[in-house]
Amino acid sequence: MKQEQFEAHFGARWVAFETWLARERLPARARAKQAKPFAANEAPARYREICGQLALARSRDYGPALVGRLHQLAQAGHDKLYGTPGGWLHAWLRFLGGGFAQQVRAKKNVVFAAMLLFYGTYLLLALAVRIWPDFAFVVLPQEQLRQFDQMYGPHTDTLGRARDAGDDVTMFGYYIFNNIGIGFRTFASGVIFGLGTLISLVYNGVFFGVVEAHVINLGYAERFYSFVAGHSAFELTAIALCGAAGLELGWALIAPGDRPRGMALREAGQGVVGIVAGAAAMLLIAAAIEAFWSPRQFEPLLKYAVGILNWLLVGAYFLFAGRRNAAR
Amino acid sequence: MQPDKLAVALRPRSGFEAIDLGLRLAQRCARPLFLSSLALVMSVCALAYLIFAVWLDSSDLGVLFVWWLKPLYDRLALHVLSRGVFDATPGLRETLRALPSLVRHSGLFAALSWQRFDTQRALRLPVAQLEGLRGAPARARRKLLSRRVSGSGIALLFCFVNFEALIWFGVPVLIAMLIPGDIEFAPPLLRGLFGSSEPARWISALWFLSYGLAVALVEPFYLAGGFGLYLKRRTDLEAWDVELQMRRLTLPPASNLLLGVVLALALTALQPGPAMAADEVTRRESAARQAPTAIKEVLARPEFGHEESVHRLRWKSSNEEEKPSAEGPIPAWLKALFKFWAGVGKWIAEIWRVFVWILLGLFGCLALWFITRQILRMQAARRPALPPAEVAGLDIRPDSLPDDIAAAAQALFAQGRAREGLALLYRGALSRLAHRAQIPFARGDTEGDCLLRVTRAALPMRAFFADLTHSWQSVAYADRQLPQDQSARLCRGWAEAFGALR
Amino acid sequence: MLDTVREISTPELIELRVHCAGPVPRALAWLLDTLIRAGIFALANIALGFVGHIGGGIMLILYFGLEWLYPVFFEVLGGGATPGKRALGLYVLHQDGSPVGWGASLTRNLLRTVDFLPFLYTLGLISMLLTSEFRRIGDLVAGTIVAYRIDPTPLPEVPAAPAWRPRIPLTRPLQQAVLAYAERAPRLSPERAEELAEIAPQLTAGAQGRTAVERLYGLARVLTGQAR
Repeated sequence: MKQEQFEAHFGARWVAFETWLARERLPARARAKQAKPFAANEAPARYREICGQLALARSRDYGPALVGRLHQLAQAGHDKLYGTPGGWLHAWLRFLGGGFAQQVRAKKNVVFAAMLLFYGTYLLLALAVRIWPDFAFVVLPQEQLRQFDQMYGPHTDTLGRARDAGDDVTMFGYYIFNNIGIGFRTFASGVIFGLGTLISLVYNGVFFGVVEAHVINLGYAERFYSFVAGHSAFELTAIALCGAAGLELGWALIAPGDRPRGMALREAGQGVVGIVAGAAAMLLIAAAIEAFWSPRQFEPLLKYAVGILNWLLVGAYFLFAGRRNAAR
Repeated sequence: MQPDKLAVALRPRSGFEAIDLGLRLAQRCARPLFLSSLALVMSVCALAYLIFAVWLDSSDLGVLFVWWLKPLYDRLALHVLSRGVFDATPGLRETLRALPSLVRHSGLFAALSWQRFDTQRALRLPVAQLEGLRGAPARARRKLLSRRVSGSGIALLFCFVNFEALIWFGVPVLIAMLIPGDIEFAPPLLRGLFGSSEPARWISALWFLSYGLAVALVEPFYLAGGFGLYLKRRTDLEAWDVELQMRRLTLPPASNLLLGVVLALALTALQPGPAMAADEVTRRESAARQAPTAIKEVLARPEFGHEESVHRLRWKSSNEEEKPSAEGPIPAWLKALFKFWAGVGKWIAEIWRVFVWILLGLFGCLALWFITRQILRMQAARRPALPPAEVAGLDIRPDSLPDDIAAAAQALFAQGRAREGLALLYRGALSRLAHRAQIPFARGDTEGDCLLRVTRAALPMRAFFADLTHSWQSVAYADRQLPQDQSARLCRGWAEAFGALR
Repeated sequence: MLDTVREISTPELIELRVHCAGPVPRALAWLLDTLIRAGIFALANIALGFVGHIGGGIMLILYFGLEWLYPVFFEVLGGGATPGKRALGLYVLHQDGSPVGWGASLTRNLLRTVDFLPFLYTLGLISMLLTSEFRRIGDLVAGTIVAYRIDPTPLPEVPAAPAWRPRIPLTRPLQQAVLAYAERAPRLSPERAEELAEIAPQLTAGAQGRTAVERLYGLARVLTGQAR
C-alpha cells in the first residue's frame, strides 16, 4: 500500500481519535456538550489499532510527518489510558469504604508488630509510672509535666488545653498540622532500615504512657479519660498503622527475599502507601473530635460511652469492611 | 579526534540536558575522577591547614585558599573526563602523573588570577586545556562557546555552589547530632553573622575536613556539567550529530579517510598544546607584575571580610503583651505550644542521637560483614575447586572405589563380568586423574572431553588412558566383547600408570 | 553509548524515550516551588489577619497542605508537574512510562522527610548524583522518574531548492539524516555544510559542493511535503 492510499484509508479514524483525545482534555461540563466521536469502551481498541498502524508505517518507511503524527497519537492515547482517572475524591472515599481495611488486613503481621511495639511500651511505661510516680520526672522534663498538670487540672473550663491555648478551630488546625505530620514522618523514616519508625513508635508509646499515668497519679483520672476517650480510638490506631507501613518499608530493605532491594522497596511502598493515606484520614477524624468534642465538659459517662463506641467502630471497620469485594 | 569515536550519544540537547550528560559521564569515570580529586584536594587541604590554621592561626583563610585553588582541581578532572568521553578513561596513577604538565600548559595562572571569578569557568576551561588556545583567539573562542548557554552555565554554578554548601554543612550537622551538649558549630566565614568567636581547634579542623570532602566530591561534578555544555556547543556549532547520521548511511572508506583529515584540521586536537610564542611570555610577565595589586583589589571586595551591623528580630519580653490576638503571625497560644514542644524537641534530639549511633553501628556491622564475605570469597577463589562427584555419569569419589582397583578389576574379569571390571578401571582412572593429578574435569564432560583434557595436560599415562577410553567406549556403547588378553593387559597397565598416583 | 535517556516500551510495543532530568533543573524547580509556597502562605497570612481568632487554625491547615499535599495534588492533577517543575519544563512519571498516580506521588513526597536529612536535602542530592537516572530516595521507593517534557519537534522549514529524489529506497535512518541535515545546515558555515553534504554521495548522485547541498535540501522538501 502506498502512503497516500494508507492515509486516505485510515485518515478518518485518526481524526476521530484526535477528537476523542481533545474532548477528554476538556473539563467535565464542556465535555458533556460535545458529541462523542465513538463509544467510550471502543477507545482501547482504537488505541491498539493506532499502535499497529504506527508499526506498519515505520516498517514501510513512510514519510516522517505521518510517522510523527501517529507516534504522537499513540503517545497521547497511552497517557490517557494508563493515566490516573478523574473523580479522585470519589475514588478516595470508596477506598476508605473498604479498600483501606482490606490493605490493613493484608499486612496484618506487620500491623500486629507495630501495635505490639506501640501499645507494649505504652502499657509498660504507664505501669512503671503508676508504681513509681517519680519515674515520670526521669523520663520527661519537669516543665513539660507541669503543662499536663495544668491541662487536666480543675482550673480550666476546657479539658486538655493549656490556659493560653487557642479556640477550637485553632486547635483543630494545630492537631491536623502536628498529628498527621507525625504520622507521615513515622512512615517515611522507615526507609532507614525501619529504625526511624521503630524509634517514633517507641517514643510515642513512652510519651503517652508516662503522661497518662502521671495525670492519674495526680488524681485527675476522670477529667483525663473524659478528654481522651473520644478521639483515642482513631488517633492511636492511626499512629500504629503509620508505624506498620514504615516497618514494612524497613523490612523490605533488611530482608528483601528473592528480589533486589530496590524492587522489594518499591513493592513494599506500593503496598503500604494506601494504609498511610487511610491513616491520615483517621487522624483527620481524630483531630476534629479532639478539637470540638473532647474538651467539652459533658457527663463523663456519656463521653466514655462515645469513646467505647468509637473503639468498637474502628475495630468493626478493620474486621469487616471490604470483605465482600476482597480477593479470595 | 573524530566524533564517531565519542562514547556519548550525540543529539541536539537543551542546556540542562547537556549538563545531565556531563554528570552521567562523571558517574561513569567515577573511580579515577574522584580518587584523583580526593588525593589532590586532601593534600592541598592538609597543606592549607598546616600553614593557615596551625601556623597563622586563621582557619578561615585556609578555607579561602582551598577554595581559591579550585581551577587546579578542575584541570585534573577535565583530564579524566576528556579521555573518558572517548571511552579511554585513564587509571589513577596515569591521571596524577599528568598533573605537572597540566599545571604548566593549561593557563593556570590566568585562571587563578583574573579569570578566577569567571561564572562560566567549567564551560570555558576546555578552550585553554584541550584546544590549547591563548590570547585573542582564545577570547573569541570563549565568547563563541558561551553564547546561547550562558544562562545554563550560571544556573549550573548557582546550583553547585549550593550543593557544595549542603555537603560541607551536612557532615558537621550529622556530627552535632551525635555529640551531646551544645557546641559552637558556627561555620567558618559566616562566623561574623553568628557573632561567635574562634571555635575549638578540633571543630575548625572538622569544618576544614568537611570542606575538603565537599570540594573533592562536588567540584568534579560541576566541571563535568560544564564539560557537557562544552560538548553541546561543539555539537551544535559543528553538527557532529548530523555528520554521524550521514556517515552511517554510507560505507565506502575513501571518503572517510578524506573526512578524517578534514576533521583533524577542523576540530582541534584534544591534547594540551605547548606554551606558545614570545608575546605570550611577556604578557604573562606583565600579568604577574600586576598580580599583587589585582589581588589586593579582589581582597578589598566585600566578599572578603568587612564590617557590618546586623539587626535581628528578637522576642519582646512578656510584659508587653497587651494586644492579645490582633498581632503578627505568631499569637500567644502558638508561643505556648512552642514552649511546650521545646521540651519534646530536646527529647527528640536525644533520641535522634541514639538513633544515629545505632545507625552508625549498624553500618559498621554491615561493612564488617561485607568485608569478611569478600575475603572469604577471595580465599575460595584462590583455592582450587574440588573435583565434581561424577563425570560422564560415573561416580569418581575416591571413597566409592576399592583400594586396589587393579586387583578388584582383575577379580571381576575373572568372574566374567568384563563390563563391570572395565567400568571400575575407567572410573578409577578418572578419579585418580581428578583428585591426584588435578585435571579440571567438569560434571558434564563426555569421555571424549576427558580424553582431550588428559592429552592436553601431557601426562605420561595419556597413551594408556586413550587405550582404556577406547576399550571402555567399545564395550559400553558398542557392546563389543573384550578380547581375553586385553583385559589382563589393561589391569597391568592400570597398575603401572595409576598405582603410583595414590 | 552514554546517554541520559531511559528507553521504555509500552505493552503495545510503542517505544518511549524519557529524558531523565538531573539535579540542576530539579533544584531550581524546588526553589521556585518553595518561593511560590512561601508567597501563598504570606498572602494568606495577610488575608486571614482580618478574620481574627479562627485565622490561626486555618493558617495551620494551610501550612500543612502546602507542606505535604501541594506537590501531590499538582503532580497527579496537573500533568505530573508542580508549578516550579512546569516552569523548568519537568514532569514526574512512573518508571514504566505511564503518568504518575496517587500512590507513587504520595510516596515520593512523603519520603522528602528522609531525603531532607541531615541538612536541606543532602541525602537526596547524594542519591541523585549516585544513581544513573538521577533519582532521590523518594523516587527509588515510589518507582518514579523526573523527566524533561519534550514536545514533538515540528518538521523543519527547508530552504527553497528544486525537488530531488535519489534512486535508492528512502529508509528511515536516511529520512532522519536528511531532515537533521536540512534543519541544521542553514546555520553552519557554507564550507561545513558542503562538506557534510558530500559525505553520502548516494543521496546526491555524487554531486559536489553547492549542488550537493541543494540536492539534499530538495530531498528534504520532498520528505516534508513542501514539494512534490
